[in-house]
Amino acid sequence: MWNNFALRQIGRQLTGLLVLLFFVSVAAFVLVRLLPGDAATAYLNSINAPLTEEAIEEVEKELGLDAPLPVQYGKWMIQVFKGDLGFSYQTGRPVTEELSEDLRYTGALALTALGWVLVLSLILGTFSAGHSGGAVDMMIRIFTFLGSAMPKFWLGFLAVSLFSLRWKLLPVQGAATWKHLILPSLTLACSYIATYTKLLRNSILEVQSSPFVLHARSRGFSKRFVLVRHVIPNAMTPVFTTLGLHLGGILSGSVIVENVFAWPGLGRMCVDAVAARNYPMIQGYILLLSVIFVTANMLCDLACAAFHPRLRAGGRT
Amino acid sequence: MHKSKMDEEVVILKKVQASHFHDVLCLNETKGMDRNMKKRIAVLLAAVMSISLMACGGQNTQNTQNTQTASAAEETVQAAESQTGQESEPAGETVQEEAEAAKKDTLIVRMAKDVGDLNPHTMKSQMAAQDWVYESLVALEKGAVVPELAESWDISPDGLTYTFHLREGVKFSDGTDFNSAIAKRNIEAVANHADGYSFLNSLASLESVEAPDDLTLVLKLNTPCNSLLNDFTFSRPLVMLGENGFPGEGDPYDNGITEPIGTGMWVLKEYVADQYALFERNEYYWGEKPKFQYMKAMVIPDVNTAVTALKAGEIDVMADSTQITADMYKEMETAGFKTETAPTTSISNLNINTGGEITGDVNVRLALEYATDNTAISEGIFGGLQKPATAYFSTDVPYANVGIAPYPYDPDKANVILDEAGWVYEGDDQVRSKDGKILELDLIYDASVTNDRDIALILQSQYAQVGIQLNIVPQDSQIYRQNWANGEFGVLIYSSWGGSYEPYATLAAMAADGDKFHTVQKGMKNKPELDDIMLDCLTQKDPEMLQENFNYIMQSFHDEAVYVPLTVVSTLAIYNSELAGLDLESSHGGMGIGGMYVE
Repeated sequence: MWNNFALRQIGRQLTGLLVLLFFVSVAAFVLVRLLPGDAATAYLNSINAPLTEEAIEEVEKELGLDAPLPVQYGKWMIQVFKGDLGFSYQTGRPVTEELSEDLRYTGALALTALGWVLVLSLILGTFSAGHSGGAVDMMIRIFTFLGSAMPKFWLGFLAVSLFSLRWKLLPVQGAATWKHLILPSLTLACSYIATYTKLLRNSILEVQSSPFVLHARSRGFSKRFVLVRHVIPNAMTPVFTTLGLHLGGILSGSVIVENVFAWPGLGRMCVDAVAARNYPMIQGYILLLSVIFVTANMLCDLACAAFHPRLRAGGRT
Repeated sequence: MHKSKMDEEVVILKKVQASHFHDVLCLNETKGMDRNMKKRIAVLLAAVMSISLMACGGQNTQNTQNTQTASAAEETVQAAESQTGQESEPAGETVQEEAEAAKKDTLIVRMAKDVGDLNPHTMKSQMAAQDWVYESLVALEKGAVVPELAESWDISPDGLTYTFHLREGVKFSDGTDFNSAIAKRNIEAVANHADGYSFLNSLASLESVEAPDDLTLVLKLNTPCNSLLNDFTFSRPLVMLGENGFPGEGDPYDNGITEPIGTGMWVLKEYVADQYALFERNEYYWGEKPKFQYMKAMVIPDVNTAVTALKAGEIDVMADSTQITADMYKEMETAGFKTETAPTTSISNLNINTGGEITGDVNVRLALEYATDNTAISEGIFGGLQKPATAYFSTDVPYANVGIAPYPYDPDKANVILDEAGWVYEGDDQVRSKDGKILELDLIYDASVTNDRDIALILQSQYAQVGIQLNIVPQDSQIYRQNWANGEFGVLIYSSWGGSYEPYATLAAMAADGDKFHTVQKGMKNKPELDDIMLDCLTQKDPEMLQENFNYIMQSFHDEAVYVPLTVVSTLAIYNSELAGLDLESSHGGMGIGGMYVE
């Protein structure tokens, strides 16, 4: 049952992914070229070379931008199918190499942040729901408001000034060790922890008032047992559904955190690439993120199913 | 009522007790499932955590030199980076130790961007980093050309033959000799791709490179070229790569390099893209060798983070001319850090669109000159660290300091000029107008430049005093340059290129139709003549004629009120108070950190 469902689900999503990627690739290709300013001029500007027509033509030839657009797209697609995303205009290195390096760092950051979100919001949300209306609940709710309202860069600098400058516990910037990961991932996670704590708190309260919980309690099961066995798994469903949407946001939204903590990730790379009109990098980035976004959603659907037997059987919530 | 409810509860209680045995079974079963569920959550979390740690742990370290020759000192540096996992030690001490262990023999410098591949013949690396590794025949000091790998040079009277006398005993970092043969190979490799470096005017006129003996290098030109020496002062591409750095028979422009081998102060030892580059002192360096054995360039894009890292002792020195603000500088000075400032040859200017609808009127441009108080900008935004400028070019740029006094700050005069030109206040208007046209200008600036917004705000209030409305329009770098080239702006803020670009590369751009520098001047009434004179500057070999040309150019800029000089861009440096020996004006080795030592 589980295997069947999973295979069917994965198969369907993979086909969808391929169709989606085709449209994304066309959109990415066209959109980067619709940006005002072009790659050749951007390059000449960056080296302070006179912007004459000949100079621009020369650079366009070198970058392969002199061919008609459909030809350029075709060439790029053939490359993509060979697993080659071209070369970065800025560094001359293969885009796949740069993206995979940056992805490892952003991935580490996003997954750790995700870990924080799952663990901390589960703890805080459960606690808050358990003490609904009490002082603890109040405090946690204040945290959720602050956490979602605080700008990330400010939160980052605040964390650094406390943990790095005052208490000298953690490094300010860089990505050399696991210690360097703590502050950036927490900063990135903070607003999501706030959101999910709130979501989980409300979800738990809602599930707790459903008849099957009363039934379980009346059968004599302990409050804690019912909470862990019945309430939380049911309350997690909205968490996983939204998480699928948010994971893309966590990945692509890490740019501010990456800048503040000098973390060498995708967000930073992408902003630089856009500023330099580095077409192959931007296109590669968009393709990669679409794949991740869809995969994340797929994983979340599976996770939902794991926590929700009814979904496994192909039913509906 | 009450009783019956009690009865009900008793019944329920009894039922519960009766089914207790069943429940125990059930409980055991569900407890088993509970464990499964817990396991599932645990596995999920563990997977998330371990993937992230795996991704973080495995560093992509590229050793450019033989990895087996890692010296003890290098191990210290690496150990300082990796020995964080020791749980027995309080974390706080470890972080501090890290910083201190690394400090003993390693100078840690902040870089805003990754150093790049250090290919000396392409434009893809950071210039400071290229300066650390590579050198050229000559260098630039305060706008003037000074010896580097060439001790002296002669120029034939016809300006067509340059003879360089090379420094004796110079070796590349791999121990091979620097001589005229390798210099010839480098220059020819660059000249073969002249199209790729259109800012170098000399490449087009270069006819041949000869190496009559080991220490003599002769460049023959087909037309005189005044920018030739300047072209050799750029950080790239006319710098010297060692023989073993060339990709076989290929050249670095097309095929990359095998290793960054130069004659400069530092040798690249280890490189982690987007994180850091570790350099070691070049033991073969011909000049005064660096005091530090290692120098680590840490990539920290955000300037605020860099300041915090400096406070935490994670870096030793940061220096730049665009990002460090006067506030940061003063704050760190108060906090006990050492600071230093040095003027560059780059000038921040307000460029006025001479071809614009409103700014095409020379009276409006003159009014802007008189209405601008650049002392207020110098004091208000830069805390006096950037001095008020007097002309488009720095006074250090050869020939360009022609002694024309800049327009004084005189708003009354600006008002008179505008009144006389017919730009008057209608009724109660705060803004002047003429024939129903309001005197409003779009000021565009590159939103990525730190201080330009504040400069724009000051100008806005200064121009409001004389009835000119300034609309501030921040723009993306590329859009800004595109609008600039197309003449779609009233005024804009830009810093002249400075350094090796001055004056010849700048003049070439100003004379090139289609270039943004050309667009600004399009409405000048003598533009065609001015272009001819600018182009003549590039080849004029008579110094007196050359000076006359420059007099004409600078007088035209002044009379036509094309540029409002704002401030002299300065390099600001903040560094650890235990260090000394920073020389921001040094022409050798990039950022002037070569002579730094622990006091």
